[in-house]
Amino acid sequence: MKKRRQQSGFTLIELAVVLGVSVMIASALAGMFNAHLQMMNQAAQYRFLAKDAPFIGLLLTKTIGNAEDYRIFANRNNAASGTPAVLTGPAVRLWMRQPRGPTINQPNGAFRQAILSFETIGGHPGIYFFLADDVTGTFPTAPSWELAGGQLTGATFDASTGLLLATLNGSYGDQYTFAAEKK
Amino acid sequence: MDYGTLENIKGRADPSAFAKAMADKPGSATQGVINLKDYMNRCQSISRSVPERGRSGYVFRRREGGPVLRSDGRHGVSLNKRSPEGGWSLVEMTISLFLLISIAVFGLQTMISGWMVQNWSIMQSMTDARAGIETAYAQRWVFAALPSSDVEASPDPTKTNLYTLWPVYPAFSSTVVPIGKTPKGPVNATVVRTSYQYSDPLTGAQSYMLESYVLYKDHLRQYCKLSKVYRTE
Repeated sequence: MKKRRQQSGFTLIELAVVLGVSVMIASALAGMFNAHLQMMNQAAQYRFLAKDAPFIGLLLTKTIGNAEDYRIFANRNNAASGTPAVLTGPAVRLWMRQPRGPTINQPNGAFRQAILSFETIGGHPGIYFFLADDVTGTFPTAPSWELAGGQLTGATFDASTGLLLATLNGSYGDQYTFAAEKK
Repeated sequence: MDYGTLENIKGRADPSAFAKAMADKPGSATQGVINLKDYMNRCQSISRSVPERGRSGYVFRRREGGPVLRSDGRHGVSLNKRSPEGGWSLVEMTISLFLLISIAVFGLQTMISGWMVQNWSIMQSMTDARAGIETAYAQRWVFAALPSSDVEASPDPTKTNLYTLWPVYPAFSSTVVPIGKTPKGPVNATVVRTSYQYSDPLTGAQSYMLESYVLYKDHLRQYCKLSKVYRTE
């Protein structure tokens, strides 16, 4: 009687089971990896709303809240010249009351002026702050400092309802609106 | 008969003699196989000198998984020729994939938790901003317009007459307002406004508590934020 030779290796059933399990787990892993990628992408898209926008809002509210008065303009040049003021625009001119001090060459009760303007400078969009000269009252051509940037793609100030509302735009069509006045 | 030494095993040429040796010991043949297996396991360090195949059909292959003895019923006890890696590979692969998928699930859960926290944070920021807008409106609204019977759902710059956003309780106004936009689309909340009117008994001065409720909901729950502003003559 011919003895069947025993062979080492896998049986067909073992291979089928292993392949089946491997395919199922690989599918699950591929699905999870895809979900990972989607979530990472969405997290990146929502980063402006989650982190940047509230911080910019706080900064703008504090800055504008220190002003005694404001006017909205269509751009920084109009804001510097003072005409014509509009109800909705990307630039705000601020009048801030300054106390007289040893380093500030202004009389008591005088206002120091500044312009907050969303524009692109050096290819970098952001909200820039232009502080007028103490003596001459002229605004500098270069920003005094940058208030906000990053993923900010637009900023609009609106006073049409009697309240200064600021709307910040992100890179993915996201928007954040808040009251930029002292409360 | 002593079957407890490797040399004795190696010297066996006759399977039946080996089976007899099994029977000489107390217990069944299976017990003998177990003893032999244990012995082989103890002697693994010296079993490299054992030839790959026994002279009379006994297989003394030593693999990393260790030799496995089986009784085939016809030839007494024999060592299994089949590779032990076959079964172990399947088990190892299953364990590896299970661990891998466990790590992936853990990572996904962590990411989902972070994602939910981020969404919650965004909703908090937007509704806080909306509540701030309501507070600012309530602080600046023309006082004489507060008791007006003309109630509007939102500020209307085109109106010339006095109107209010906060009707006196139990009346209230409810309106859906956009509070922002996400990359997926606009986000809305419901604002419910009402006010409480007080009249000072001594001076007759009127005062109002203006309340704005910002209602919003996520996937699970509904939340409410309240803005209260007290206005008086």
